[in-house]
Amino acid sequence: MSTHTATVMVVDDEPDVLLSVNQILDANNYRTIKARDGYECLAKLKEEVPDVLLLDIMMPGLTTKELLNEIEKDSRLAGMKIIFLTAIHSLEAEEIGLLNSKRVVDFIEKPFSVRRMLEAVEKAIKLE
Amino acid sequence: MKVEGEIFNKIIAAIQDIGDIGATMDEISRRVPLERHTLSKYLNQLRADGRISYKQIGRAKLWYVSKAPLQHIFRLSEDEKTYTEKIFSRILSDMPEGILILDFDYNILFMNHYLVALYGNCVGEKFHYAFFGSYNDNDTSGIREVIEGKVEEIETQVEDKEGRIINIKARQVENPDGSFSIIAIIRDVTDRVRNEERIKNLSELHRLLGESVNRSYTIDQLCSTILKNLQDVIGFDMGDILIYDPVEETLSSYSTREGDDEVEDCKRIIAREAIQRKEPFMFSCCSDLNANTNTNTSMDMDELTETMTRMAEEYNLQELHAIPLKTKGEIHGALLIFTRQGKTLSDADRSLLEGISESIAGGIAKIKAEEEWRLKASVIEISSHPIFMTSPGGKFTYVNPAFLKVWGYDEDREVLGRSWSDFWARDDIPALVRERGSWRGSLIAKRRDKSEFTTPLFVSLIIGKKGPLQLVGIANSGIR
Repeated sequence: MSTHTATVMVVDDEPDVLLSVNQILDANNYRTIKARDGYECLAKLKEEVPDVLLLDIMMPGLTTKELLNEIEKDSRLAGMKIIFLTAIHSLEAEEIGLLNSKRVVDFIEKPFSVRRMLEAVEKAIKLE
Repeated sequence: MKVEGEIFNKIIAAIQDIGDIGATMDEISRRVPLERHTLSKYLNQLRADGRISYKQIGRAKLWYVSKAPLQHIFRLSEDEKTYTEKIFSRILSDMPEGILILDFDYNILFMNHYLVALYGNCVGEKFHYAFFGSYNDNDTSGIREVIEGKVEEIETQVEDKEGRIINIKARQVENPDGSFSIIAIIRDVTDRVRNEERIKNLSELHRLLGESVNRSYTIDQLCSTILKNLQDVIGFDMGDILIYDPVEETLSSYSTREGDDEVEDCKRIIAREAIQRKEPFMFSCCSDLNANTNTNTSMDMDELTETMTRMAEEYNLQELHAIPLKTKGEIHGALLIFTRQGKTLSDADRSLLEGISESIAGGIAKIKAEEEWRLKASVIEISSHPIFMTSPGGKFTYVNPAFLKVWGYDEDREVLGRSWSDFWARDDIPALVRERGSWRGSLIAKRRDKSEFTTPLFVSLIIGKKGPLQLVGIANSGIR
């Protein structure tokens, strides 16, 4: 199992996904921050900059595109890596311009295996 | 009133006695002894009631018994009509529906402006000839039944000699002499009927499209079903769907009507152009090509023009439409629709083609994805490693043949629904996997015959849209 203490923020409006992913990351020695939508994500990013942002697409409130635009504007977040964790197809995400940002390093479609997610998080941290 | 009635009857009897040549006022007054001005008053009253009419011959008026008052009105010139007759005939003439009056011998006595605009002035002609270009041997309008008194009123929808769909509502009108005239209200309902047919065919097309995808048709079945039903909606003459294979870079045709090799090559060139442009284009054989295809072409314009011209000549085509079949970011092929000389697609048809192309592409994408997953699933099926899935709580939901073989079962129904602890010595693994996401180690497995063996095992949690979905495990086929 991983031994590093990198911080991962998980943003998902589905409580069971949020709970499960956080619990698994905790068990795998990551520090975690939870956010249920884009607004809460931005608010928490003001307090702390995680190493990796696990981000759902299609959440109520702020759109993912708007959230990405806000993140782009904040120079403090320049080193933060983003992994999408979503039920939409990557081609669709590409079509709406969500994969243009350099911060976006991976795209995981739901349903996904936890192993795939953990590998992606580990890889994203190593990219630093 | 009774006296007046008797006088009216006497006047009518007098005119009838004199016969078809018409009666002058002097002749009538000899049979009905009334003062000249009194007789004139009664004659005008009868005429106003439509029971008698007259013809002006020089300064004299010849009076006739009106057999068909309606017919009489329309025979009169404007000057000869009373105020009421003028108003009445103007209303009929300007009605926004067709008004047709026939006599009992199918002669057209009156047709209003609406009908004149459709058929020209056919007054005096026979009804069937004017409307259907033939005589009444094969009457489908129902007029004959009304004339023959079999029914009092009919309402029918028939196709006229110009291919228009007309709605005819006709009924008998009794004349004072006991004969009948026919009044028909006729409406051109071609657009409405065609629109209704179009909507019906469109609904059917969408239903079949949904059915084709949901029933997991093959792409071949999907394409042939769509082409057939699309033809019913827009009535094209040739159509094809060419599916693009990005790996092999080939285009395969699903046309129900195979052309020769050269035509098939032409279709591929046109389809490839649509795929490369990623947008529809149209070629009309009667216009300058440049006016109909945009300049965003990816191939040599002369070659494309030559190909389309060759295709058009080969099949006597008027228009060639090529629409790429694309879902978000991915091209699956092209829809080709051709019309023969003299036929063009309307703007609505073109919009429909573009709209339906998205549905076709979506259907193809879904079928391709399903085929791909079936292919991937077959890897699990033929794997020599035991692979299984359980619910997050550890109830078995899937096992592959290798699992059945190693654990000593014959069929998966003997395994599905059973608990983790029926197959493994440690029953805390599902909880551990839920908590940590995965688990790897060596574990004692329990066979059907109660014997045990130790195998390396890797189990991972699968998370879906709503949360933890399944546990997936892979063991080793090596039995120790």
